Amino acid sequence: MGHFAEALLNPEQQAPQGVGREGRPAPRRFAVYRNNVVVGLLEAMKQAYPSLAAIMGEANFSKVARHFISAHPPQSAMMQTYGRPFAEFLESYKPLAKSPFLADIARAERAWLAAYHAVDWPVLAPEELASADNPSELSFQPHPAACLLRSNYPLFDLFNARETWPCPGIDLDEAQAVLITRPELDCMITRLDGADTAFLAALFDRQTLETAITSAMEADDGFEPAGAINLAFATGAFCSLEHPLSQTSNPPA
Amino acid sequence: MSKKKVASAAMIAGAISAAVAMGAAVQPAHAAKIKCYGVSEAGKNDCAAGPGTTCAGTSKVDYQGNAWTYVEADSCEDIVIKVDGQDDRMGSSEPLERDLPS
Amino acid sequence: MTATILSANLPPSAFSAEPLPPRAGVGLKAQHVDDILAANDGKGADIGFFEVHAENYMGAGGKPHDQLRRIRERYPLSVHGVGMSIGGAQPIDPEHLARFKAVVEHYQPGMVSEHLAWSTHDDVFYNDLLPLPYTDETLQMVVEHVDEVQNAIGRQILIENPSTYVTFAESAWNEFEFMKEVAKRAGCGLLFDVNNVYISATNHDYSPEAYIDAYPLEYVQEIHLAGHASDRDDDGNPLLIDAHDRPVSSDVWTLYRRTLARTGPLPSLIEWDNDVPEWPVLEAEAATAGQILGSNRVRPETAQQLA
Repeated sequence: MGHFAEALLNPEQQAPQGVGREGRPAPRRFAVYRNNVVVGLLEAMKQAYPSLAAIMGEANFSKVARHFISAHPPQSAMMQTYGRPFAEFLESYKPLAKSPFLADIARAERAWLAAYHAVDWPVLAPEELASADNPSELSFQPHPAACLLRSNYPLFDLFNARETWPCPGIDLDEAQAVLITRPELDCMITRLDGADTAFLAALFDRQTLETAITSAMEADDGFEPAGAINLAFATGAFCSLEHPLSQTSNPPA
Repeated sequence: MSKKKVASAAMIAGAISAAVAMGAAVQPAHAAKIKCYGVSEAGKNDCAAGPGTTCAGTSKVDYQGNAWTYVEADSCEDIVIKVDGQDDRMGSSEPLERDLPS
Repeated sequence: MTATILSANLPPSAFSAEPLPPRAGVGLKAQHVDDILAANDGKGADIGFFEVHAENYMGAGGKPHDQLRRIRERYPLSVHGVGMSIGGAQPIDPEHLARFKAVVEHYQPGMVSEHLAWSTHDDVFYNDLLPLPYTDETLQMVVEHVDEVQNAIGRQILIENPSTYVTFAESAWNEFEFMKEVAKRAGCGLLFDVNNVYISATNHDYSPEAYIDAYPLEYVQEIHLAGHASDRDDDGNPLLIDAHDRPVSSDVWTLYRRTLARTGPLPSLIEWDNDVPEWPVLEAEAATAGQILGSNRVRPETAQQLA
């Protein structure tokens, strides 16, 4: 089966000896398998990366995806994980060197898919924080579906190309950060401003609430902690409160 | 007066109470102030599950796929993706492989 | 920073195994779940059972599991694997087998099945059901793999006959004899795909009726029905593609009747995996299968005299 397998992804290699019709070679017949594999994997890539496919256009996307498939054929029967290293592949893909924003779109689309299939953990309830002692010293455990992505490009607008393309122009000079979460069953993507990005990034980095608010205030004088905390709850970015190590070593009273 | 802003415990407690009072949706007021808060409608569709498996072959023929060889990516010509809505084919030295929406 | 989606850790099952009824079922698609459950004023569409691909429910959580739990609460379920590589030359992937087991244990399906095919070689998964030569050596390998899967999940599985586009000069067995030997030696059942019979018979120029008449139907516990596409091979001979992208052909319905005449009514699945239509189209296909099942409720021994 080794020859059969090798020939599937390499059209220059003929079908193995003795495989065909009535003992004779039948290239068109073998090509059905080759076609099934290539079309199936291309479809999988299009379904995983619909925003990229929209922005790049069918022909460009297929060309690049074919190169990816030959370099990274699947290693698992779980197709929902297929194509994970596509962002890194795009970064090193020379013909796309002038479109460096594509890799960030791939990262967001992959995070979206991971969120879609992530484990069903409840999100942190606001009441839990409200009833906690000394909340400013607490840190937060990120929800398994949550992912914060900072981009030098308008990642929110680019990601939404899956819904809005063709759209009247995206300003590539704008940097945008996005938060991808799944509060219940539906994924959501939220565009963050600079202060909220600083706030959430600090929390994702397991800093305390106080440190996170301080970093956000440093990033932007106009930072509104109430709105940012609400945003963390409403998006389901976190699943539980954590007591930093210093808290656990308190001497008994 | 300290030059460095520090969040006080009282301010944090107040912010938490205010956040809880706002309820479970991303606040429109907050969104309006920030101006660009947006929650995508994407993902409302069940087909957003990404790729699934199949036990079927395909009748869709990928002719390029069938003729496709291990071309080194380096030898491919540049692909330039435009997203700014500007048709700059005039005067552009780059091959433009995709027609833009007008 | 993205969360992992690989998990075999589904919560304990709330379901108890429920056998598939000898009625028409449909392959479940995510986009149909709401229509199915809302049909008949919320009582749900009148379908005998649903079948899913095990691999699509190997993620940790989210909407796929929510949908399948809601379907499973109302309908008997069949779990159909497409990635075990039962016909492969290498050992079964223990991680994949563990995930498969978790899906089966969680959903407690009435039937579990896999394919006489391979899809993994070395560490590459080719995402297609690939053919194997029928030799003593491959027979032994398939039997061992089926045995391993059945031992791991603690229950019998069915093995499906393939649709093929090529044959192997080294094959020493007829396909129907090979299938019978697999069932006998491994103690598994068989899943009889009537469309696959028609495709392979056309592609390799033999009589599908003779194949059905010679098939070990006594091992068959479920039937698959699907549509196929037509092409031509290098010499201009007809080459049918197992595309699952259109209604079941009239020739396949005729072969289905011939099969049921020998077996009596069996759980019969409509598969539609590419260019998937709106739910009512699938429901109508299932109704056609249901009518044929209804008119075939004759005793198998009577039917055998007719065959």
